Amino acid sequence: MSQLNAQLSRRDLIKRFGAAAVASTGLFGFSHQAWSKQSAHIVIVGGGIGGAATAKYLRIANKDVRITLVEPNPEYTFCPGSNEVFSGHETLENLTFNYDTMKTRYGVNVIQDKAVMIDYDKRQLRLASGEKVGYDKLVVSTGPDFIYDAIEGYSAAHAAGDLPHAWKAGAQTAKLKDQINAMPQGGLLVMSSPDGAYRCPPAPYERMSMIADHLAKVNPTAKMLILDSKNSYTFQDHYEHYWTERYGFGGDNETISWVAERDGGRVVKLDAANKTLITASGEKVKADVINIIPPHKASKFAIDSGLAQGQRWVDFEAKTFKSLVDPNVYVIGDMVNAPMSKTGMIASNQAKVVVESIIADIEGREPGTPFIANNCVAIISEDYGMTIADTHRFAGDTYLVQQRTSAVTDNPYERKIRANLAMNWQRTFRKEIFH
Amino acid sequence: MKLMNKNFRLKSLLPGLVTGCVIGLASVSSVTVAADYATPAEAWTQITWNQTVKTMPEGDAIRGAQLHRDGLCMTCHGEAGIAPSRNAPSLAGQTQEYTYKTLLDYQSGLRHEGDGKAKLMQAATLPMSNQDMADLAVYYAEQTLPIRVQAPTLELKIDRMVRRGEVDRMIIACASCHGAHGEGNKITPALAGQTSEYFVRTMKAYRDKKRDNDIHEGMAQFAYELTDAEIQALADYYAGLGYQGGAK
Amino acid sequence: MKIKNQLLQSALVACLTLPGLVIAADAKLTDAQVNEINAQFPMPSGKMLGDSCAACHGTLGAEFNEGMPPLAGMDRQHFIDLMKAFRQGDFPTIVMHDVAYVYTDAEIEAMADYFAALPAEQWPDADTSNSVFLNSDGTIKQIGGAQ
Repeated sequence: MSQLNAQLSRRDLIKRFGAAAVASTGLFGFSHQAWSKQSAHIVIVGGGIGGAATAKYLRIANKDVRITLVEPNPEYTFCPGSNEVFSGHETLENLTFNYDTMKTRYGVNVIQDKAVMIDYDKRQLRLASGEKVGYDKLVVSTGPDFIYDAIEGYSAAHAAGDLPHAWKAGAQTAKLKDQINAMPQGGLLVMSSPDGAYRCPPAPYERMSMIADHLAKVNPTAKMLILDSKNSYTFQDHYEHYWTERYGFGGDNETISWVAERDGGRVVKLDAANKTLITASGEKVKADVINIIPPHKASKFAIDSGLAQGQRWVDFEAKTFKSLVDPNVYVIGDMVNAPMSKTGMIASNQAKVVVESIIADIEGREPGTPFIANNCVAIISEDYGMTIADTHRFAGDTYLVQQRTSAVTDNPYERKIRANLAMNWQRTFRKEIFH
Repeated sequence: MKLMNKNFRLKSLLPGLVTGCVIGLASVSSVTVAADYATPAEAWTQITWNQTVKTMPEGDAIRGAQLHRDGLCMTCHGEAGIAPSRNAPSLAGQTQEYTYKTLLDYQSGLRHEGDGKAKLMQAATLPMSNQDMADLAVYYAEQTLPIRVQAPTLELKIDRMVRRGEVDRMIIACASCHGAHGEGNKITPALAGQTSEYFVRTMKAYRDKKRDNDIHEGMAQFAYELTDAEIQALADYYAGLGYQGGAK
Repeated sequence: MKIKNQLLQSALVACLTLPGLVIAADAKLTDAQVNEINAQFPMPSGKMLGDSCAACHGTLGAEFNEGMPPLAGMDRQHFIDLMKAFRQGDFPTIVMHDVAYVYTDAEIEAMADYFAALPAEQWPDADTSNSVFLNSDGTIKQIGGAQ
């Protein structure tokens, strides 16, 4: 193992680790004698679900590896559950975690900084501050970035300003909620739903449902319109069934409307000054509140560091999630080109595959066969939930997916219990990642 | 199908044209709008409970068995009311009155334990009529726990608490209300064979004032004084009086 | 209850297509296909299979959620019996019948062994340290380590 650390100077190690290790008792869960073992240094880029799960499960698997997590923000806000903020069933506070437990319980050295580049030859990660962090293994879990210019006239600046996408939970979620609350009676809210792979396939429709649940109480004459860049979506039968019951969907007085891509739903342009969206067929829709969910791509870091190799998503070796660019770098989460949905549960289970792969390398053995599950309970309202179960079986150079979705049901017990379980699940999942 | 006339639909959503179709949600739908979870229910008194028992519908065990399955009760409480896991109570052999009251209390929001722990059961009881509850109550009362051949051994101090109570701490013998074999009596629940983790959670909820749906603190007053170790010993004892489910 | 069986993505449709939305209706990996895959690659370990349950059942199966029971410390045979009942679809569940159908007997048994060996104690909250999972200084004990 000593050759693993050949790249790390003693001075570098102490600089990166020494101070923190002394400052907090129990850090790393081992004594200072362990330093002499020169245990492997695993550096993780990104403190979201994938990164935090990697750090935690690495520590559970091995007491001695040194773990560093690089994350620019002091806190992380879960996206799962953030749509329920719009209906008032959840708060951003409940969804937000700092990295204290990572530091104290799991002995993770958390550096609040932004990773900007990888020096593969030197096995060094360069940070925005100019610091360099040496690694034996690097795990990159940055999440995706957004393709703002897929919609002409939309930009990151708009998203941070008056036109939040809120597809990364936090300040934009709160902003969009305020805008919805400030909407005039009988106003119109328009959402642009993306094509391609994006975070949480049913989430745009879940969000609209949560907003509708809220508006039904405070602004019952408001209208909601989803302009879609695709022709079908996950749980569509469930959403339409429920919307028909409660919001008159499909009738003349529907309060939620959905326009598929084939019917001219694709939004191509934003006229921000006039709060107007323009569709591919030239239709103009002026709205009181606009929520554009831009299509996704690999993160800027994945692109800048060459991991994306000029592609939209990052390729990887199926069994280990090692980057095809460099076998000491692992890539997981919403930025990878996997035959899997982009969900938090998937990211957390990819993290466990990476942990197994890293530990196997350290122990000099072949990693075990991966297995990745994604079981989702989604909600339309407090009284209607539904489930989807995906399993991803390793099959050499890819994964084979088996999927089952619960059927549309009028059994009130199934509806209500599943809806409740969705919220229970979010609570359990947050704990699984951050406690 | 219904999305054919896209241009019309899009235009109909433009604010200027929307005004004509604002009739909207007043007559909402057939969907049961979810009950407000925050609504507190009136606490029981002996009088209101006695009146409620008198008007409890006559239950039908066959209908109860059907609802046990279709209502997903069986998922957590087991095939014949014997819980398949550690965190759900067994219901087999429970008294009719206790089951009926518990279901009413979940539905009304009177039963809670903090930490949102009762919300799942509240969701599960919202669709129920009083007849449904009575049917389930009869069904569970008719199920039996396989009794262990060997009675559980009990340390002397706990044995005394169960059979004779403790004057010093004003604790009445558990058996005086819950029965010599933990079989329960009317509104006092059966404890024999109860999942020990569930028993512990419940007793701590009473002790820590997180659960307060008992009539006039009928149970809670005895729980305040108990230590964690005593609660665990009682849980082990009562769990041992019947089959524990498969968790152990 | 009607269940839609859906299979998406075969090995041939692998990495360059965007997944998630293209769903072939009414398809499912047959037992023969699963057996073929399983013959080609070693079976995932009980830990690999079991840890993929953690999002619902907690880290190392140790979350006592009222809707999703703890698996840690569950009796081996009981686990096997339940999973097989879910797999057959003759036990009404919230989602487990749609989860369990993919597992082979051997995989169910491997998970049963894994969970039976784990301590049946609630995974600690952030600020508790008195736990079988934690050392007195708050660091984690090595439990259920790498396979």
